[in-house]
Amino acid sequence: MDRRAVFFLCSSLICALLSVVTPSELRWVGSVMAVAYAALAAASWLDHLSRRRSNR
Amino acid sequence: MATVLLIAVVTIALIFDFVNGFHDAANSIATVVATRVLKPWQAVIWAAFWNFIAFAILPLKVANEVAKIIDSNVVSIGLVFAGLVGAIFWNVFTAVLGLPSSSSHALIGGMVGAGIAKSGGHVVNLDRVQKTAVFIVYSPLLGLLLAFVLIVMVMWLVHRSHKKRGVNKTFRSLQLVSAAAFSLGHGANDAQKTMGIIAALLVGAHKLDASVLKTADAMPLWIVLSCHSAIALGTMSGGWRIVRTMGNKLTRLQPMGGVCAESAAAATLFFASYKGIPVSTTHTITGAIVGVGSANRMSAVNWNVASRVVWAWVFTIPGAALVSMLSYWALAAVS
Repeated sequence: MDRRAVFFLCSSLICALLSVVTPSELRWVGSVMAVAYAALAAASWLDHLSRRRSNR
Repeated sequence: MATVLLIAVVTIALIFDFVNGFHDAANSIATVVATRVLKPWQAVIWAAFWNFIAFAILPLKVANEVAKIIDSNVVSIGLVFAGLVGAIFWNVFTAVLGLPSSSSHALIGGMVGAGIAKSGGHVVNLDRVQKTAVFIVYSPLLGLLLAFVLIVMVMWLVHRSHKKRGVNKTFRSLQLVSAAAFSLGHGANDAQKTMGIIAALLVGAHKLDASVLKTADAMPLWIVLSCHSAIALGTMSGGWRIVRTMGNKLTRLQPMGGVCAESAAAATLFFASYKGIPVSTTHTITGAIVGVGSANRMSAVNWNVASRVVWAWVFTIPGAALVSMLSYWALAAVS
């Protein structure tokens, strides 16, 4: 399991949940961070998969 | 008598600011000292200079926001004193437990607790507390995100570069800029919290006109200068402590990682200062360092320290608020 991808995914969820309770003028911060962390989680998972394949 | 008490509480607030600088000096100069870019005494002066000059570069929005956390009509000498007692007690208590708590959040928690103890929850400006509370989580996560993206980009560029020999030298020089930027952000965000508390106290004691709280630019210059002087002097004093204790802890740092972590943390602090959001500089740089570490491998990150930071996030504001509530009631009972 790619621990980094899991960490980024959890961070993405936290940011998405927090954006709901963030004052409206700063809500975009949480949304942008949630998307960015989700993208990093996907990239990290793909990196993990490619490393595992090359190690075989 | 009231004037003497007022001066005493302003002095305590400035001491709190000094201790903040003392505490956080390591964050600003650790990398430049470890990689021998600057001698310790030069690094200390470099960081203190940028701490001091921050008021001329970044807006005073954080001070204005902190001053308005509690309704200025109920702010009194006793309330601010109880708030500071709560913040100082919480800082000492968590230091003994080894929890990396934020003095900034302790100060805000202290003020909120004292305000509730004096007049009830309605005097607390919930929008501002909410903004601070969500950024307790956002600021380290933003520092982490920016640092991770930055280090990955830099590593990619270095990997593609044909001049690998000069890379270390380049990043050693860049550390001067990143350390200056971080010290600037630290000076701006942290000194302004004390500024806000002092301004609220003086408005509450009718020594300042309430109009100073209307805009960020109306803060009296003597408050601005005294708060920046206190934090800069604290940084200089704290830096000397590092001179004595630097050794194994610092020598593991690499120039490239240091530059990326400091730049990401500085960018986060600049953003928070422009938006008037009080954030913890320690938590921000911790997040950025975790970001740099996780770009290599997750086991490079000390997750024990990271989990302690999370506990500090959760408990600081309510903990400091509780202590200052008790302090206020004790003060009211004896006076």
